[in-house]
Amino acid sequence: MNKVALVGNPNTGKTSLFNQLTGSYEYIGNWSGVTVERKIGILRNRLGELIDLPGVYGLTPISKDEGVVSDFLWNEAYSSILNIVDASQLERNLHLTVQLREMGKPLLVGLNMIDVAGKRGTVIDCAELSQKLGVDVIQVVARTGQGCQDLLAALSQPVRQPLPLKLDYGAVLEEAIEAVAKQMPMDIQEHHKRSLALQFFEGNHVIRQILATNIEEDALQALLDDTKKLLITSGNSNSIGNHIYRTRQKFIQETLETAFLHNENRDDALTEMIDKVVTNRFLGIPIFLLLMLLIFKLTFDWLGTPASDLLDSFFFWAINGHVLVRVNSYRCKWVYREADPSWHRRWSRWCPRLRTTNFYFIFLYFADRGFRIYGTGSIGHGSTNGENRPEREGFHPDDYRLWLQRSRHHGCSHNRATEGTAIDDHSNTAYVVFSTPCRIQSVRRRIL
Amino acid sequence: MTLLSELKLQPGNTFYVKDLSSVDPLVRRRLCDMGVIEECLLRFKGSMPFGGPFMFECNGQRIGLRRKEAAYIEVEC
Repeated sequence: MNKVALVGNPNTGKTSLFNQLTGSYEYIGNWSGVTVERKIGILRNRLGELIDLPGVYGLTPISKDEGVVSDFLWNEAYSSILNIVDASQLERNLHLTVQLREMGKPLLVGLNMIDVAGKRGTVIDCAELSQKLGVDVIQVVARTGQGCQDLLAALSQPVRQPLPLKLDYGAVLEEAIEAVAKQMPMDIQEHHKRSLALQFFEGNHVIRQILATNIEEDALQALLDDTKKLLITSGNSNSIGNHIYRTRQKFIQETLETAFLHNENRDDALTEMIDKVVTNRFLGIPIFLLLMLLIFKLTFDWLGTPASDLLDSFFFWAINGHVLVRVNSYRCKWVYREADPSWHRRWSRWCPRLRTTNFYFIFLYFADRGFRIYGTGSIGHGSTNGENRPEREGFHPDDYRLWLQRSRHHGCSHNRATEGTAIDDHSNTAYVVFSTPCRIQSVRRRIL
Repeated sequence: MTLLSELKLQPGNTFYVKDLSSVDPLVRRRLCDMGVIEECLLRFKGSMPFGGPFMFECNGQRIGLRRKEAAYIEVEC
């Protein structure tokens, strides 16, 4: 199956795009050894798998997330890389693209947020960019889904494997790269060696460990130190990483010079203005508190109360006439109290409020208790014997008493075990306690 | 060249970054990722009260930086 890795800078819309291309998460797990989420989805046209990787600025890791990406790209099998790039921050984003191009794996670039870039006065010539980078560039707006069809189509067919990008890093570094590449383990493919060597000089310790299997640690360190010394004496860079960064920066700037049709880089005046007000030194905190009050009012007064009343009336409609109760047997003692309608009322009034305040986990906690009592739990097998059931329309407590006696008399062990009953003749209500799970409809049917 | 901590910063001040070598290596790497390298133009946008972080603007993006970490950036006005 086509396996596509989704790579990009943080906050460039990777996850939005992932959702657009796949519909939903098919599988969520952890990367082994780290608690970084691994999300895999099936493309909408079912022609491949998409793997959402954490956002990174480059392939040299300094955090766990970045380590995951570097490790995945070098060690795991995938058919192509989809590099998502923020068009409004192209210069910064292309550093990663350049590194991916140097790796030489099949690559496709998704130019995202072209709408934001457009607002800021940046117009990009996609064809020119594609030609300069040597890969296909497809414009998308992940937020709205614009262009995602093109991207899906491009992903479904095998992405062409370009030759690795080769930038000239100057005589000193080129020589050092050559020296490292020569000594690499035999099983590394020829065209990967250069990229691996480069990442070693950038300070990628994952690569360093790979190299350490073949080259002595001291020799590696000596090579690093020598190269650094030579670079400092010959050029204007103060470290190897800096030199590599600048070389790439130069390539990117040259690329963008031709690829930018128009680049004004004007500030978003509206954002600036909003910032001025809401992050004001004196007004900021009062505005924040005011917003909080607004949300509080919204959840408890304006939206929450009508919603909880609605739910309240729904539950009273659902349990109309007779309250159905299911609890585990050890809870029998409490049941009569919990079956008290006022308790239901209190519970059902609370639950929409909890939802609107986003304390969803609290809601779930109560729901666990609540659904036990309403009996909406999963249905067990072995239903009540049909002939034992009172068939008459309309319900009278006496019928139920009779039915219970008959069931006990017949000794139906497969009957849904009733742990206890309480019948209130005044309100025409039967409180039933079941010890095994059953669905509310089935219980109602049995009683009626 | 002066350390950033020695400057009296006013919102809107701009300066060129001259040396990042005394900045913490990890912070330097991250700044580099964001495009803050030697010779780049920084604009001071403001600071949070009670010794809170500084906000800078660089290449059309805003960066929040701890006062302690920003202090080691050497700049030229």
